Amino acid sequence: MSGDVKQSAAEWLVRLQSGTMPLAEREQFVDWLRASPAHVAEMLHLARMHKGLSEFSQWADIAPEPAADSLIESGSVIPFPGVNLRRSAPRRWPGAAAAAAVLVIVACGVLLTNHFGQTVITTQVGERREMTLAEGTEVSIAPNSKVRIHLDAKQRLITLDQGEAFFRVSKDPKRPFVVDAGQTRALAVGTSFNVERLTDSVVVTVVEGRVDVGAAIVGANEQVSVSRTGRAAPPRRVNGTRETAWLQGQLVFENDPVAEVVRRFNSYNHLQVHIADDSLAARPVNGVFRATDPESFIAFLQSVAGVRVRRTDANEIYLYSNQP
Amino acid sequence: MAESRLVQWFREWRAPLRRFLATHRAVAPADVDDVAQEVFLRMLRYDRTELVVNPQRYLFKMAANVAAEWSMRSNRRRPHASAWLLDLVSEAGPDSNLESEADEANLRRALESLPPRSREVLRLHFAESLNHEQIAVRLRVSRRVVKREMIKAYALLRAALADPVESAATRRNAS
Repeated sequence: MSGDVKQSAAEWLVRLQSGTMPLAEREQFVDWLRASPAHVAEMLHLARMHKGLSEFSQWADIAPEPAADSLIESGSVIPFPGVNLRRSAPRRWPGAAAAAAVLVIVACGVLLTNHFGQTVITTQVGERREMTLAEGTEVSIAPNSKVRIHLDAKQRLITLDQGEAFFRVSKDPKRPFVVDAGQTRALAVGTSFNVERLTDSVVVTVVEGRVDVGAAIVGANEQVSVSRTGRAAPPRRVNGTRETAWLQGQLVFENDPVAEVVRRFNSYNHLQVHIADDSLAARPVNGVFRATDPESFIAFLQSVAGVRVRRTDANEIYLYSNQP
Repeated sequence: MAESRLVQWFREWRAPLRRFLATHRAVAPADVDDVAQEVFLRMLRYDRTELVVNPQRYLFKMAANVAAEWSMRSNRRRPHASAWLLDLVSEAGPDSNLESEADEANLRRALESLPPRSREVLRLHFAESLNHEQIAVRLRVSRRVVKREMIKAYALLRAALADPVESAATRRNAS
């Protein structure tokens, strides 16, 4: 890493420490960070070093420098070997690549907005997000999902407007953790669970602990499906880790219809698979697949189910049953 | 000016920064540079107007999140180690003594390799908790000069820590 990056990062650190920065400077700082991963890395290294310095226990052994008392403004710089210490005119705050960065935002299209104290996270096809909330809860958001997060002193409310999310809830008995998925509210205290919002039902899967969905209490390795009317069948036993395999980028199917499998793959990939006949759509499938590899699923279908494939373009595939 | 900026600085960003600093160590393959790569990508995707509200806070928050995700992932892979990892993720995990001793020794060596003036501004700031203004008074120079010295000291110290062997060698050769 060049000495220039270290120098710039150090400049920013000193800036940050010397008080509130005006908007223009904060913009320059953001642009500098977004200009290169090396800048971000150096800033993090520097923060770590800063912490080390403030916790350093041997300062007493570092003797004060009497000579430094006579530090003179125009004094010569003692050249430090190995580092290129050019003495230049006061440098401009590095601000570059803003235009390029803006383009990238448009291309990536993650929406993270803040309205009325709540954070809204929208994921696109093929995009998964993981985050840790301020109070320590870990949230993983599946592709094609929309989640709103609202934390206040009384409760932690997550609204799942669309899609699927997994929560590893940090314990806080004073602030219940509630996931609102339309017809179903899941209440949890210190557990790990998954909520998936489907067209006409909500599926809650508990990996650890217990979750109250109103209609039922769901324990570890249990799953409940709540219908639009709020009715729920008794929880069924499942393998919680298998059911949440999407967290590892895997899709696991057990007697799931091809239509459902295809829907899952389509939410992870730009390649969109369509099923051209109903008998194929209803056929049950078992297997474990990489979410980002629909081709291997199609190859699998071709081998076991006699499926014909037609590609209309690079991102569209139609599947037909071979049987008449 | 009230208490030292250092204290203020840490109070403001302590939670995310500490979480990041505590976590990234726990993550075997995730060294700071890997975390930075991911943070960089997230910053690009994030709305710029949002980021500029408090860039440093976002930076450390994202870094903390990324580091936590890494440990979350390795957590799943190695269920037996989960308790140990969670400890580290939650707040400042107990540093192993060995590790922090090694860190201290490195830091000390790096500090000793600095030019006296750089070392002195750092000492005044961190050991005597003087802010830039107070350091300026102590050294009878302007605040600008103190800032410049601080910047130089940080950059040199980072260079010495990043590549202790090379720095020491070139230093020997030069003298």
